Amino acid sequence: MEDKVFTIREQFPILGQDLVYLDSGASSLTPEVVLEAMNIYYRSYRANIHRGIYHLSELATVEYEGARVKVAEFIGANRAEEIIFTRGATDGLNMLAEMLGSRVSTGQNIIIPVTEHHSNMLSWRELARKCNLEIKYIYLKDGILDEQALLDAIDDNTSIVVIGHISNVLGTIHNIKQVAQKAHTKGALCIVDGAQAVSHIPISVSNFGVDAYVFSGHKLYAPTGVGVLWVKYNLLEQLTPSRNGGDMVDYVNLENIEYAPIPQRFEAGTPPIAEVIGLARAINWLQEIGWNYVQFHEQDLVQYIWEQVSLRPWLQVLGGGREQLRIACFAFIIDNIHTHDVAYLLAKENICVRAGQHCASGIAQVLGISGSTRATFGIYNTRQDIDRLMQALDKIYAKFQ
Amino acid sequence: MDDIYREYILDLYRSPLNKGVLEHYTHKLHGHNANCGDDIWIYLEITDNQVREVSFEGVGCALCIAGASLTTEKLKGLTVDKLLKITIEELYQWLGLEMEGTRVKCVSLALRTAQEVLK
Repeated sequence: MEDKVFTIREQFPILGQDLVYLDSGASSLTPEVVLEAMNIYYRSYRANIHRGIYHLSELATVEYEGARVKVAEFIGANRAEEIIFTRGATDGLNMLAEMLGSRVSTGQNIIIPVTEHHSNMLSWRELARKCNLEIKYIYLKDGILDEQALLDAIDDNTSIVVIGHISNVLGTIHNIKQVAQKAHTKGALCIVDGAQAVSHIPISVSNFGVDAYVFSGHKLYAPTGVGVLWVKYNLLEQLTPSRNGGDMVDYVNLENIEYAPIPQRFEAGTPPIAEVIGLARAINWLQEIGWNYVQFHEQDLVQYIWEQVSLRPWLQVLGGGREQLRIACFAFIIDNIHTHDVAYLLAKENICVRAGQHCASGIAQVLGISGSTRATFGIYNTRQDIDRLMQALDKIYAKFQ
Repeated sequence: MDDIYREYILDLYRSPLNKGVLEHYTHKLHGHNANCGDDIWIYLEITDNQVREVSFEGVGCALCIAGASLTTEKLKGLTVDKLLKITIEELYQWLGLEMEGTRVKCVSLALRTAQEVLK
């Protein structure tokens, strides 16, 4: 099974350059098969969708709509029409926050964990400001999100609960099914940012019972510039599009507008066609590898990192201890060494990590730290990558003593 | 390991100069590097168009703190006009090394912040 990773790595020629890429949580690398699928579109059936009465356009439309079916199947959606293609998770969450303005009223509250990425926090804060909603922040307990406090905070006045499926800093996996159940008993919506989850654990939105689930393609081995906003069909029916333009109306004259059916009405303008095709190919590729392998391999990395961390008491990992269920996302701090110095010196060794607050300033604020260094792993990473990271950290630590 | 992390830079980071709040400051200026989290305050005591005392507070990377240490040291006694005219090249001379890319922002944060004094 260990050999399989080397076959996988062949899909990523960039890794051949002695590169230790530990920033897949920011953006994952893209396999050759995905680039090839987009190349084929550009080279052999490059045309707009839904419009042209000619073969190329029809072919592009078939591929684009086929991608919708593929995504729906991948995340366990009941209907392909529930899939709206966006520019990314941030785009989808902004769209949703705009569209839900009509469903909330003054005096209600919205629940936001402090662990959220800015993309799942700032647009909701803006919604709260515009609609006079009270914001209830949920804090940490023992270094991770206090999920019990979150459940307890949901009350009769709660309109929306937002939560990241997996924290982009702590790597911890949240029980979104439980959150959705509690939200629904109080008539609230449960909105989930799945950006960090989709490439690491199997998703079934219908099993989770959430109302909306949002993610980006570029963290899922797919190209940049494409994302998915999944919304439960009966909720979609109640929403008015936040974007207007071409391809989203059935009938329009100077007085009246009739929207196109769902989901076209939510996809104004020409979508990122090549990227959507690339996204479907990336999903296919991941499914060919299989969740069993993905999870086995990545959990092996998690265990190995913990082994290595336990040998280095000066490495302080955020997000609970070894018993905590997490993906291979490790944010850490080293006493008296600033995170940017760590990342800069790692970069000099050809090791790519992220430093700072990772667009989740709430965590840094409540922990009272200026930031952390974060190593995030993908399916192509190996134990050797971890060895390289640890050896480099040892040198940095020694240098600063 | 990279040679911009020379021993005297690390010394200035571990034991910064002029760190703290001035008792009689006339100006307090905030500087922040959004993409890396360097976050400092510069305190200046200026009378008769002359910088009498300088200090800084805050958190930052080794280059930011070393840069702030040297900058605060060099600003003492300068006229405000001279303070405003200091260039990045002079800062590099004080440091004895040059930076490139995003690290320029780290090392120059204190200087750029102090130069906001008349704004």
